[in-house]
Amino acid sequence: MKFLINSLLEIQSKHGYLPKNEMERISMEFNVPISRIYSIATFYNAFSLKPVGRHVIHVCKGTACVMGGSEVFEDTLKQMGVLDDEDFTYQPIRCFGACSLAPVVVIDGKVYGKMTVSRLKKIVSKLFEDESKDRDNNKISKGDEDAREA
Amino acid sequence: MLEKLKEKGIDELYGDRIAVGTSTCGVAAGALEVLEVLALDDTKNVVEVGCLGFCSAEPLVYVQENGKAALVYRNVKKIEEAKVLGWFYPWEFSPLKLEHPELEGYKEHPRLIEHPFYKKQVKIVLRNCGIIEPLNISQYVAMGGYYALQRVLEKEPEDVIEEVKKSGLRGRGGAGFPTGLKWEIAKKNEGEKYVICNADEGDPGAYMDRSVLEGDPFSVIEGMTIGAYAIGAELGFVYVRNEYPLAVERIEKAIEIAKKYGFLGKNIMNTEFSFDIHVVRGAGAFVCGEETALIASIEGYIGEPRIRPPYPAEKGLWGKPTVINNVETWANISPIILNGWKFFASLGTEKSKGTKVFSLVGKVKNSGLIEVPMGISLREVVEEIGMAENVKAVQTGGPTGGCVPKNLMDVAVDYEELTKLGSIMGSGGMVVLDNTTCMVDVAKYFLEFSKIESCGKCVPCRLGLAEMVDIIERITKGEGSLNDLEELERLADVVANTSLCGLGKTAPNPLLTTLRYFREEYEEHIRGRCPAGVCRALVKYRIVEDKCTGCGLCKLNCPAEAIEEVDEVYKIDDKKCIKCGSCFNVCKFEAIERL
Repeated sequence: MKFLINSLLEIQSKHGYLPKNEMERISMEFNVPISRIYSIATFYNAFSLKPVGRHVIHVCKGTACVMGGSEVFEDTLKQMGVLDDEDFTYQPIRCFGACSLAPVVVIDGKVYGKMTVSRLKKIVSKLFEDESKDRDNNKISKGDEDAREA
Repeated sequence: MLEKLKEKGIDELYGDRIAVGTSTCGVAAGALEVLEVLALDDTKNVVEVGCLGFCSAEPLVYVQENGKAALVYRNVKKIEEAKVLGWFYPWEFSPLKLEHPELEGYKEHPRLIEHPFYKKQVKIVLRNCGIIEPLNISQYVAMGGYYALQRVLEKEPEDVIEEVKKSGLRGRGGAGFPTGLKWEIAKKNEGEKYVICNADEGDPGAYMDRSVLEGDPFSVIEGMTIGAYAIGAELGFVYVRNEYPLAVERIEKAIEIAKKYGFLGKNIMNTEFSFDIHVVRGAGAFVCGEETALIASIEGYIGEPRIRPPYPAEKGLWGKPTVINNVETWANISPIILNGWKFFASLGTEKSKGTKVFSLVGKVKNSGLIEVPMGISLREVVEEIGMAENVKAVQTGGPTGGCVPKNLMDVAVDYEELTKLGSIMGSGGMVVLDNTTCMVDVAKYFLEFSKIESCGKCVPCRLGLAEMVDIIERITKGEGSLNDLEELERLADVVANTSLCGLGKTAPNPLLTTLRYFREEYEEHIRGRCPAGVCRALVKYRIVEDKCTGCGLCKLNCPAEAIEEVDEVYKIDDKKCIKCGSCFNVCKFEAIERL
């Protein structure tokens, strides 16, 4: 038995978003109009229509976390320049169900309980460093290729 | 076959083992790192179990060796350095009569059942959580699993329904509809039927369903199988939140294992009865916890509720009679069958029978999942189990529940009693609030939540909640007026009375209860002061030079880089300060003043 939403979730987790051609394929497969696929994609929080960044940061905005002060992490990320781009995606989320560890932040799938601003700053700076290192490495390897081609 | 599995399970459960709780909360507290170190010693039998409920003591590890009972260590980083929490017999939490070898207790350590956190608990739903390895079917059987199904398959379906009806079990998802009655209605309808397990636990602050699915998935599967037999369904669905990846994985695997052993699929336990379960994942929409929205979601539509009646028990999934119960309800079924309805009905109050699982979080010392008999007072839960001090109010029933103030905490935990106070039982979230919480801010938070999660179908819910959020935001900025309070009450009345589903009907609860019990806090805001010092527009922070030791903790924890060091003391730059209060909360020397 196949379910429309399960299939869309698989695509979402494979690509990090719902590419148009995949939505069209699902529309054919399930024999439903593409408009309905679009309505589902925009109704449910789990779907996005643009690619997510390499690092995904979720701040929990569940009751216990907000009462524990999780809103300041959003300010921290903003201040640090974490924008929605190809490197980073920031998504608030409604409760991970780890409320006794509030406030909770999830970075690239790893759950950090009892988060503090200073810890978050450290972790995110590390990610920034890794990103810029990666970029430098890419430049070098690309440079090598260019050299070889020349 | 059951006897064979049971024997194997008993050997495993009561033999030598070191168990690490690796549910989501345990993992977040560092259980996997502990597990990794323990597993290095291959002379030991190291196993993973679900959650014992005591989340603030995670990671929890217990050691069972040389015919002795289980000795629990709390907040384990290194096992040699960890503190003992207490000891327990692996069978003693279960209400079922179990066969087990004798184990020797400890004299030098306290018993877990005497710990304030466990003393008042009665575990039916959570009977196996943290005890068995979640995907080990022999251990599930050794704890009494599948004996209920065996007994049911020899009975007439009507007798099963009668048993559940007499037990007085009511739906644990929040609305509290009598489960047996729901089954009876579905049974009476003709044609193909379905059962659904609602595991779309969207209430922030509630995670009992996740814990059961992660720690004891077979109990849900067995309950659903019994329900399916009773109403005559051959197909079932578990609709589970996508935000719970471990729960999804566990229930999917458990279904496969149950099929392999003939507890699910064709000719269950060699009878004529066949039943299969599919897992459907939710996609992050709170409203899908509402049963008709959930059905729409399984059918592949957006999660918009529809008018009831007809109720799903008459016309549900694909127009067929469908029984929807939540995880906790399903997990109650097999103990009711095994111990009889009288056992269940002997617990609780006149109208609310049995136990209820709550997630006790917020400003408490002992936080975690607790299962208590219905009728226990809110005060016992919060002050004796949670050991909370300086309580201001308790928020029950999730985002659309209400706040019960301290002076009314003697209320009994019961569907009707909580409703009388303007709150609801809901799915069992219980967030304890203290003097550092601003009640207007709390109401704003919940209204915003409901506004975002409103599906948009009913105009009063979609627009009314948005308007209410605007007004309350104005109040938190000190720009409100007394007329605003009346306007809020009027809007709340319209939204509650003209919305279709539970979300809109109950969304004004947090506002109405805080207005009812904490009206003076609203009035203070209107006068330009936030008594708890939470609302950002109404506070200001300053560093007292004499008290500042120059440790720099405030600077490290400032999200806005608004704190600068000047001559070995620190200063706040008012232009940059976002008034979040981080510095105030981290300063160990009370050197930060809130004005």
